[in-house]
Amino acid sequence: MLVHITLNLKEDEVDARRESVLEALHRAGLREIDTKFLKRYSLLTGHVDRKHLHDLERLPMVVAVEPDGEVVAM
Amino acid sequence: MNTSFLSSEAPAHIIVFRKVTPENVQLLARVLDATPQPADADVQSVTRTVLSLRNGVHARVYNQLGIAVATLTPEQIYELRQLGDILTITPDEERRLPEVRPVPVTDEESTALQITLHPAELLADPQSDVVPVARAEGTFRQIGLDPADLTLTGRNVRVAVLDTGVDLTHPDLNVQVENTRSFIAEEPEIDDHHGHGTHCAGVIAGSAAPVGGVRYGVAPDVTLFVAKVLNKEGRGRDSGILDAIDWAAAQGAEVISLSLGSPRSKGSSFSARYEALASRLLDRGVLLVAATGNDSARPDHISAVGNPAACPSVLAVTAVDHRDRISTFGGADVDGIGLVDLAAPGVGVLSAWPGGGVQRLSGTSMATPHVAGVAALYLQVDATCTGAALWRRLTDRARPVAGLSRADAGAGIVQAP
Repeated sequence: MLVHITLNLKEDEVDARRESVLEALHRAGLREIDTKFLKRYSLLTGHVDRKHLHDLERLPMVVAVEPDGEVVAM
Repeated sequence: MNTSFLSSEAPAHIIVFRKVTPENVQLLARVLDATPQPADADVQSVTRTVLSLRNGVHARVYNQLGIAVATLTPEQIYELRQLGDILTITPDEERRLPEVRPVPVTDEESTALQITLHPAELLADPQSDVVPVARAEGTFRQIGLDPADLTLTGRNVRVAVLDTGVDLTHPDLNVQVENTRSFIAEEPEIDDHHGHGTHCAGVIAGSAAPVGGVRYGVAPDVTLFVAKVLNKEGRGRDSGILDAIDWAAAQGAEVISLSLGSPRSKGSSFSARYEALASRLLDRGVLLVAATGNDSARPDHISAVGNPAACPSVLAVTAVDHRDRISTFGGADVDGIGLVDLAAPGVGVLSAWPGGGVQRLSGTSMATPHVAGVAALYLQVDATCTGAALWRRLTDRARPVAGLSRADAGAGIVQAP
């Protein structure tokens, strides 16, 4: 499933911690990681199997793991 | 006992257990202080156990899936996570058709919703090359905007609308194609096949001299950026919206109008991803404005503010009718998580419609672009007043209305400079 991951990282910390954070997420089961918003918003997108969701959520730098949901006009 | 009604309930949370085991039923029953119902052909089977709670609420455990549905308090969510081998607990986010609400209005009623300017007001600026209008929507009076003041039009301010696209050929709109982009893969053109986006764009940037003679655009001279993030059915994905917000900010938009969202159950968290984006952008001087949602049915039911409006760094807008009364449908602060910041006209709102005409619609979607348009007017007056400062100015200068509670309408009805 496609998920959005919000990280507890300040903008000026991203460069220094980038590789270690990505490695930890990869080990926890995150695949096809999209880092385009990592620097600007501390956000990542990637795919994860449901069985690994909790592994991602338990990582200390992860604030939230949210599935890509549907949004409608109001 | 007839328990058939239980199967038609819509609980607020989905609980995913790590293991498929009979202990899941016992765990949930313990936390909810509930009793498993005896087997019944109508509702009970080997695949599903219904729990009956003393407070009348019910829960269901799908035994072979390791999934349960229930309405949980924050304390119960915490307790479940502490006691059980829980994979996730997520709000049961109901998906539904877009709520575009066409409002049938007779000519007589329509006239009553408008204001007519006196001749002196029509001559506000003899040097102006813009043709003054004779009539404007009554919404202008509600938001304290003089439609005859053609110096206050949002000129040189960049505003973005993320919606179903826009009718680029509409005579009341002036949107440059290079200022548009579709984030819907199956609809790569910006053309609006729904109508909602054109309507929202019209409320912000409809011409000061519209073809129909009745002005409805709050800030007719803004530079409008339009991103298509909802398809012809009015549906989109979070991923496309995040991309579009980033695109709009990169274009220099200082206000981003989001007449969209997803329902949020009472007590559940705001969206972390939208908050991450909005808080960073607010720091950079970009204000996100979003609709609270249309799921209330006052006086019987009041829904929580949806996402992304529930995020603390997103300015949440609800709708009032033309008499400053809260709409029956607007989401409200029911849990201290999703707050309402401002109200604006959102019932029977006239605006542009694909094909060149106009339409009256109701929704918090229609209120949101009113606030985005007024925000643009403040930016025109003071270009340094951006982001959080703009937010404060909008709320500080809102008009409180007796009978409108803070939970329903925040600081009150948005007011132009």
